Amino acid sequence: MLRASVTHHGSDIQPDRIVGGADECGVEHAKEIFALTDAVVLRDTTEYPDARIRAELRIGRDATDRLVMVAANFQQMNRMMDAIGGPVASGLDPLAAEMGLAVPDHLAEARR
Amino acid sequence: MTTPLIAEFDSLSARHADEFARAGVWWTGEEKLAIVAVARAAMAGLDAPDTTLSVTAVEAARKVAADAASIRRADVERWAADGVRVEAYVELVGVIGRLAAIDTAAFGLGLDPTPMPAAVAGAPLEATVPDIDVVDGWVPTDGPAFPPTAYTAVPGATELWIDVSDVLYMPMREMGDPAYVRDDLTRAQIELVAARTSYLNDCFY
Repeated sequence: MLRASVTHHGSDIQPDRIVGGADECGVEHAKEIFALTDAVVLRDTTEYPDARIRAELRIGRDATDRLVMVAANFQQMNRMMDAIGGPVASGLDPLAAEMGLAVPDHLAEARR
Repeated sequence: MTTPLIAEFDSLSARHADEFARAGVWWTGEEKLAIVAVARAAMAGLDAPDTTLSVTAVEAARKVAADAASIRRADVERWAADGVRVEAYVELVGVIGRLAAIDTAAFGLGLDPTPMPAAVAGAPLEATVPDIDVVDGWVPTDGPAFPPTAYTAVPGATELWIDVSDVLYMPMREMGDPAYVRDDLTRAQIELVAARTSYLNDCFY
């Protein structure tokens, strides 16, 4: 969906830059988005205040709050899928490769 | 300053704190609050507090809370053999997942962690779902194991997950829309946050 939504806006995503947290990855204001997502998910009390302010200045208060909420939701989603052993479809192998990653064996064992 | 977004989050967190304090399908309210306490300690890098939970339940809760990417099928099978039946494990995952979402949002919104109410006395429902089995994951699911089926072994658990997801992420009906915008955050930005969070959690979802 990330790629589909980026393409919808006439751009293209560079998945390897998600892993690297690069400033430019094809999504607008990625630098501020990465910084606040990292601070929130890692509960980094040192980085959080500055990341929060920079995000608010760049994308506004409501979008910043929504960013936080989305990261929070994926704290739930990640635990859910890792804990129940939901397999990663083989169709996602090329995307993982673009990100410089490989799907681990335990998530590939029962592929659809 | 309270905004409509903050008010909606406050309502969500209060709703789920109340749910944590009540008996569920396989755990009492006291046990669910103990799961919350153990999970919060694990996510903060602290030792587990003393609770009435079994050693096995504490181990499962800590792993789901703080190291979910390391869980394997053998862990789930061992926990079941040691007394945490698989449906109870699914419910535990649901409780901790919702807690992780609510606590992360509170931190990122600059709010205090949601306080937990006192436990409400009552017995778990102990209800099973007929004709459900392990398909391609590690727990019984009503169809292939993916988010909409992940908690289907526990009556009501899917609805609780959707409640959190609707408020924090997006309504289910919008999932297929690449042009969706919520609170000025574009779908591309929303999915970038999702992808980065998954990467930080070492999750391939």
